[in-house]
Amino acid sequence: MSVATPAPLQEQITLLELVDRVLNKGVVLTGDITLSVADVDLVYVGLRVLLASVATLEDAG
Amino acid sequence: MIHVYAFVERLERLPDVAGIGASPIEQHGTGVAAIVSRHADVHRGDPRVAAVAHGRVVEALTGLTQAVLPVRFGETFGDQSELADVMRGREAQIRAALEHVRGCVELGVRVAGEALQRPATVAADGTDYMKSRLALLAERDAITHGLHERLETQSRASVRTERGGFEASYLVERECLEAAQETVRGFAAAHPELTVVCTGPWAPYSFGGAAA
Repeated sequence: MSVATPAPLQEQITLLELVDRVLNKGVVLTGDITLSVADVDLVYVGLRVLLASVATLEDAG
Repeated sequence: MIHVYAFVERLERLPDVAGIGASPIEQHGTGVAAIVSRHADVHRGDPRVAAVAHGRVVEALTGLTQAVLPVRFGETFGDQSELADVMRGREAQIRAALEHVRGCVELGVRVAGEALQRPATVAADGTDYMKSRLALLAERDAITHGLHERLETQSRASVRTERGGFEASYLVERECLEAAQETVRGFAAAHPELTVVCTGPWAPYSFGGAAA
């Protein structure tokens, strides 16, 4: 059994930014979205929370 | 089923990267080529994992060629002829968009902080609410105006997204990338009260408009 280590903050932000771009940007060919809306929302929530936590960390420092 | 990742000018060799679900990637087309992978059911599995795999293919292409046009995640076609039909109808636009992004990468900039995203106070009425909302937007723009203006002079194009704080993407020529990143670093140093996140270089996800 292995224990997952949380990715460093910068890596998490980069991953969220990548997913944000992949899901929301890029050329649209057919207009069909094959991903459930809930997952897209989750990405936004994740990013907001992450930005807020960065701010908190900086305030503490 | 065919999943499309991006458009490029036909490559001599494909990048050494696997597609969604570890499937091999292929290219279709002679002048303009679509980078694709084939699947029995592309919707199987965690869509977030698939989205990251999609992004990794696009980023790998960026390392190989000067002009990459990312396709939004989720574009699938029943077979090769369906995709070929769409490409024929869009070839001129895709070529124009490839020209527009040639030699460039995308830089993402987000600025967050209390001054930019102050929670709304309870407004007495609608007018009051609109006034406070406008005041907040004006304050945000006053803080980030200089940053945006400077970055615009260092980029070929820019896109701003209105989602509360400051959020923008810049299409930057590779030679100007370091200078643009330095601009953001300078802004962050001058505003320790704000959270400044600069990501990239990315493939030009936000600048394929000419092909849409």
